Amino acid sequence: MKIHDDIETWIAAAVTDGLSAKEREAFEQHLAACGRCRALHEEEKIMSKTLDRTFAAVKPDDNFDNRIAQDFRRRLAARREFNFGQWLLRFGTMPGVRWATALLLLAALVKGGAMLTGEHFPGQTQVRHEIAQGNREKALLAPISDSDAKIVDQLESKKQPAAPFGVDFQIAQSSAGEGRLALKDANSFSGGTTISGGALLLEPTAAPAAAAPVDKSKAEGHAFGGAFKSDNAASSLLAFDANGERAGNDGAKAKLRELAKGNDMLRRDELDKSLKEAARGQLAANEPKSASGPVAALAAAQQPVPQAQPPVTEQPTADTRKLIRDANIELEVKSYDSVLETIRTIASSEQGYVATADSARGENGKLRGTIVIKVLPQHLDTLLTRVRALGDLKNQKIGTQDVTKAYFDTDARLRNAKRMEERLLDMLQKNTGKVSDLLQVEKELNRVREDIERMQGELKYWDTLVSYATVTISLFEKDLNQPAAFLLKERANLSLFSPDVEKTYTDAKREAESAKAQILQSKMERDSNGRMSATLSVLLAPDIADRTLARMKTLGRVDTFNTQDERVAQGGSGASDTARVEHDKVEFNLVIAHDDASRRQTNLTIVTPHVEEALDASKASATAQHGEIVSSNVTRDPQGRSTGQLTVRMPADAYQATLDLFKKSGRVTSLAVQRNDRIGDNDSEPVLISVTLTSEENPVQQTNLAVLSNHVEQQSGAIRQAAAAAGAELKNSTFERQPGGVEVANLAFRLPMKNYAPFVEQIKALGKVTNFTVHREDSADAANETAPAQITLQIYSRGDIVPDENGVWSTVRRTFAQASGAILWSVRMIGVSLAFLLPWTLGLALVIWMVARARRRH
Amino acid sequence: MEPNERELIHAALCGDREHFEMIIPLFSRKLFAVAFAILQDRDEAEDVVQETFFRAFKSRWRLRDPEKFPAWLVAVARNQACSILRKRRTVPLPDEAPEIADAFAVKPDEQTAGDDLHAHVFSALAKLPEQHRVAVSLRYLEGMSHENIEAAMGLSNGALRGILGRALEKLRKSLKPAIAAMEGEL
Repeated sequence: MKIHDDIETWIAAAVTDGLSAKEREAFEQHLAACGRCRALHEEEKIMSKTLDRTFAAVKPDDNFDNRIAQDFRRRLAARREFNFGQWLLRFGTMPGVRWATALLLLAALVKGGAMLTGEHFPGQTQVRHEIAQGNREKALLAPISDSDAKIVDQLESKKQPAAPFGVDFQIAQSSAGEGRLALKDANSFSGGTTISGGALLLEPTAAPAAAAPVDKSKAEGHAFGGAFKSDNAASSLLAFDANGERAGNDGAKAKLRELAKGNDMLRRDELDKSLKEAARGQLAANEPKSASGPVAALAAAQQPVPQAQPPVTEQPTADTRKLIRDANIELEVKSYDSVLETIRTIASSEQGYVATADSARGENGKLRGTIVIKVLPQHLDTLLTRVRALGDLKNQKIGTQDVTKAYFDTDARLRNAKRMEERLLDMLQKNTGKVSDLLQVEKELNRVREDIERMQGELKYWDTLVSYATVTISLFEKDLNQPAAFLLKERANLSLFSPDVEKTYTDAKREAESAKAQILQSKMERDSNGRMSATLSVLLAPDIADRTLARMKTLGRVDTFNTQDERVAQGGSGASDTARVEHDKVEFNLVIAHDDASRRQTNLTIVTPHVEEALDASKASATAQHGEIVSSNVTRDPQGRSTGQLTVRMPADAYQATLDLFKKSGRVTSLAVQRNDRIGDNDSEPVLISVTLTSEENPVQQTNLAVLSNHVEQQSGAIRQAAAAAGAELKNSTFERQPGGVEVANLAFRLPMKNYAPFVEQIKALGKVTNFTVHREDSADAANETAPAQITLQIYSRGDIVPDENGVWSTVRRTFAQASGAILWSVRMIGVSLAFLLPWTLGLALVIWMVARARRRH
Repeated sequence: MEPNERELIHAALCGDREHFEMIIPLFSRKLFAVAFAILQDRDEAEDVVQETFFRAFKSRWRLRDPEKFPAWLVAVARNQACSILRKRRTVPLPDEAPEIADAFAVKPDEQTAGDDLHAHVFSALAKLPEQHRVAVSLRYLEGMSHENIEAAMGLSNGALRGILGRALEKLRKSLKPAIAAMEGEL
């Protein structure tokens, strides 16, 4: 762009010293050529000078900086107090803290994830690597605990690319994590064989000689098993077996894995041995000279199991199997002693013996016992046959336990331990090192010896168990469970009426004491009406029980009396002819009640419209006849019905007069007279009269009607009016509209019999009568025209063809309801997912932010 | 930025109060120029400078690059000044320019032709955009070079020329009558 077109920028730059020398030259050339621009420049220069002058007037004074610094100091001093938020922020942004936080977060994420998914952190480091094998003399050594990659590198550095064999091996790190891997290659690995699985074990530094378990010349050329030794002081062994896919090698592999798990000396030693033996077995099965090439290797790999089971020195045949045989039988016999003798005879004839015999006598004198016989296993079956014939066989169990594997395992371990012991002893003799090393060896020796003793004991125990079969015979005599005796328990309950309870009670107690009875409980009480009652429970000796009971009965009027006998079997169950019977003490319960039962009791029901007045009148007449008012009450229910109850005790002579007076107060609907005829009673005893006064009598006719009508509400209104006209009283009414459109009205009417028939006709006219039942009590009153009748009416309609809940609007409503429910549910789920995600998002954001900040500052 | 200045800033950012005080003279007048450009009030501008240093010290850990420190400091001062300006504007005023001119107006009896011109200058300055005012102020109040102004204002290379060009053009046009009148008087 030309200067002229952008002259304002140029002249501004010129007056503010913003032009370079070259630009200034160009600018001046232009000014010289352009008068207009020159004039503008002049103006600008003047204006610039004006600005200089103006700003010079407002420049800060010389003390300005001092003031600023002082103020800064003052404000800082004022702010010296600790600001936790600031400190936290600064602390949190320190690089070390940031990285630590980030690492912690990461670890928490990993751990949290592992916890959620239930996965475990890898406890073992595994390296899979393929190397080509070649050099037969080189041993490869790599520290596993340092770095697996290092191993791989070392292995690779040793590999010879020209070698044709691919070997795949896995290194399992020992649990101690200190193992070192020593792999000594054997060039006679058959081509294409894959080696997998490893046992990695530690050898003591001080025992290099002992750590040479493998005869190199033997180890070479064995395709499927080997132990390899490193000349490193802390040498380790890598045991490996042939490809896991080969069926025949599973046993050996399992064994090797098991060995690899432990890191104790015994197992290590055993490993040596196992491997050696495996190698030897392999040598025998698969001639190394002839085994060359993949085909031979495959053939070798498919050898049967025994040759691939290196840990066991000799394969047990059927004869050498360690079987523990035992038998349990249960017999019911007539006599324990005689059978025991017979069993002894049988046992000795079968070259066995009775190891233990014990017996116990039950309460009924029968014996039960257990006999343990030891017999040679080959005689067990004949012995069992003979023993079974001695009684009724109730139960039998014959078992065989095969301990061959455990036995030979222990045996092998024992031998290894012994060898270990020798080795340790050897070390002790040769060791010239530190005392601590010596002590270590001593300690190890102690442990090994303990193991040896334990295993020897174990083997001896097994030997004993195997050499003799154990037969446990449980014997019990017949009728073992028969009861030894029966206890006859008797219980007598007596209930007495007495006019003077207190006296009777005292007499009864005295009687009990004179009979030397044991009083269990005695009680006398007086209730709120002043009536006395007493109870007495005693235990009587069986011989005097009858006499005492007879006396007790004479103390008052007997209301009830009953006795119960119970036989309780002792020491068994069921019946027995021979068992004796014992009489227990007789339990006697006596109840004494006040004898005020009136001779007669009359119940009277009277219908009267004025209950209260009738009640008062009855009370007055009863009192006038010298009667005693026992109770009286009046109740009035919400429907206006009144009911009165009056109970009076009248002298016998005034009874009839009073009853007549009561009858006059209304219409008698029921009269019941109860008479207790007892010996010694006479008619002079007082009579109880119980009167029930009610304003409403029971209907003589009860009718239930159901009417189907389309207009329930109108019809029920109409029938109410009709009822009012017919003199019927509406007792209650309900109306209900159900969701399906069904309407139901229930009405109950009460009306005099004379109006009954026309009203029922009116009801029938309402619609279709679907139900009609009449219940009539034919009594003398039924003929009475004013006798009440009750009609229960139900008017109902059919429901809608399409019920409301299936209608359009309800469907729309439901749809909306469900939709809003779904939306709310999704809102809740969003909340839940936010609650899940937010902390993680925030944590991640924080980490990212910290990392970004850290990077920006560095 | 010169190496020793850079080291000074670095020490101030990483160090304590004494180190930070050492950079106050380096920037105080620049900050004053910035604040004055916005507020056109010396006392308020000084307050802004004080507040700026205090705030910068409080949050110095947020900035570790000495190169960016001047621009950051200027930005803090500008924000501070703008917030004061906003607060001042909440008091309703009919016209800003005369009010600012009043602030610099000398008393009538002492009034001279030069003072009158100053009032015109500030009045014209007040009508410029904030960025233009800051650029002009840094140039004329502090006499800073183009490079330093650009660094302080965080401008890219060459942008300042355009800003100054437009700012001075506007000033010239609005001051032209006043300058002509004063020259006529002189």
